[in-house]
Amino acid sequence: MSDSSPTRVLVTGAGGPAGIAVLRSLARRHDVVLLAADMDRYASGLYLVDEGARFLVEPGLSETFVDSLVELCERERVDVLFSTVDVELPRIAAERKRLDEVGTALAAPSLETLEVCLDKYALAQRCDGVLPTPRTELLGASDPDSWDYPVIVKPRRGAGSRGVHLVADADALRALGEDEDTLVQANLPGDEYSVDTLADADGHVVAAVPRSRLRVDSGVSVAGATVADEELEATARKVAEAIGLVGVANVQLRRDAEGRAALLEVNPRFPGAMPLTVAAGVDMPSLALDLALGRELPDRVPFRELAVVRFLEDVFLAPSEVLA
Amino acid sequence: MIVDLVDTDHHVHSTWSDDAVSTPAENLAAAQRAGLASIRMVDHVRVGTTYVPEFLAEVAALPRVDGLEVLTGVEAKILDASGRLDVPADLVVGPGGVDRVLIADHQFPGPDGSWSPRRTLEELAAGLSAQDAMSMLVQATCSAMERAGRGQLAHLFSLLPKIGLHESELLDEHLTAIADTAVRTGTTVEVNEKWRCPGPRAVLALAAAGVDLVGSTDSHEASTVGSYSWVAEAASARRLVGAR
Ligand SMILES: Nc1ncnc2c1ncn2[C@@H]1O[C@H](COP(=O)(O)OP(=O)(O)OP(=O)(O)O)[C@@H](O)[C@H]1O
Ligand SMILES: [Zn+2]
Ligand SMILES: [Zn+2]
Repeated sequence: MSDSSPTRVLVTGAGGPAGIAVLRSLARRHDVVLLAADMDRYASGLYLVDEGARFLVEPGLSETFVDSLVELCERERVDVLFSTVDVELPRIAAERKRLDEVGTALAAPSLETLEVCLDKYALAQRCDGVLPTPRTELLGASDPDSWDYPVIVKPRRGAGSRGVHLVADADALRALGEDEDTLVQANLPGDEYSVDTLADADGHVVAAVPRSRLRVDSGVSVAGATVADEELEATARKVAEAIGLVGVANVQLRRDAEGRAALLEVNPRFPGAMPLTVAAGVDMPSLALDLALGRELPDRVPFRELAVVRFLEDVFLAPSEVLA
Repeated sequence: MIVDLVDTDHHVHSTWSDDAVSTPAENLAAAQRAGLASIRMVDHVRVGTTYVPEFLAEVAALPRVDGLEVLTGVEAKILDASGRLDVPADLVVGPGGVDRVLIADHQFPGPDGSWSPRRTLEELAAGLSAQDAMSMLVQATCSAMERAGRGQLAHLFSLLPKIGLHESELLDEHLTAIADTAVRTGTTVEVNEKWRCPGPRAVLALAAAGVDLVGSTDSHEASTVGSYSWVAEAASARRLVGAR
């Protein structure tokens, strides 16, 4: 790609808060042409890009999803692909080579990193001994009398907080039986933080921006603030190193009974609350684009403490402009 | 009769292409609204594509619009330096089949198959000269025209920026080769709004050689059918050539 031709960036999941955050960040760059894709014609992010740059794609779970996405990237000469959809990510990352062959770089952590994050049991094992990690076992694989109660029971590969509950005592845990897809985890009773973390091509952490979620409405953070806290930042750095992070991940931490920041989980993708991190001084989508393009990143990007309250926004269109 | 470039749109995708959003009927209505004289409905194919007969049947069943010609095509990439095209083996071109095959430079046609942009950049860095790369691309494009029977060059030279090259590096003899082959094989060449190519020098050279030029939005949604800004300038430049 010559320096004069703009970089063509495709963002999938244009209807979700993460997709919109990425689109809005990259829209400020003059060297970028934005393309947006979603499976839903009413996905609002589609309408943040030029007419003619809006694409409807198959659901991420459809059998031919990756084939058609690779073809789309080839035809549209996409230089960099950002996927902000959970179910798509590992499938796309598994085919990174095919994207590479059509000239498209995937702005996402490696498949190995994605896989360890998506399996919370593997993640806990990976981080145990490296940073404070709550004891985590497969359901039925440990002596119920060996735990302090209450304990958390949750799906091994869950998202959206589905199926997370507290279990009060050993009898109740015993009654749940055995299941390889369910975890028992020590309860972390303290405050919870999301740390947006960016690592460069060598795995060196360029920024770790802790956010407190002051209010969450249906899983979406509607009020929050960045928090300058050395311990949270250092813990997120250790997580990034442990999982071999290259690119952006959202590290979730929670304080344990002793008040230490401990690992909750890692979402290996852009969070919907990314605009706060961008406004606080770390434009992670833009940095991730440079990383995908093989450009050198700064050694460290500082952030400031900043709070946010969020609201829904409207995009007005001629009725004929809504994809038919 | 010579139809003005901007009154034609010979590269319009419908829902038969995976990611496009409008049906042939919606594209037809858009062409009518835009006052086009001619539209070519085009969808992407590969060697394994089987939908072509259904696509043609759908277009054939569209209501007729007075003063609006409806043509068909399939868009396929050039697979290698010999100009092989990524089309189904049983593709019928001409009566009973598609009107034209759109020849697309989606990848670089290397001697051993299509090269990714990175591979092409590596070959260029390792000593392949820009001139030789241009010659390979032009040669493959000419061979593809011979093979297509009735072809149309889709977004000619849109590949160049992606491999670090520029139309200014084309030799006059490259343009002459393309023009001669296009005239001899009856291949049309589109002036493409989306990719803004080929550039003014190539457009003027092709027009002067008598190549049949058509307008193209390469649109995949009805709202952009027949909508030109960049092509409109190329069209006025061509009108000057025609007047000479
Ligand atoms: N060990 C724990 N101690 C205390 N609370 C926990 C623990 N594990 C999970 N939770 C609570 O449940 C929520 C969801 O858990 P977790 O993040 O592991 O699952 P998830 O389904 O991936 O969530 P999401 O996708 O919403 O981030 C956490 O935000 C936290 O409030
Ligand atoms: Zn094309
Ligand atoms: Zn096309």
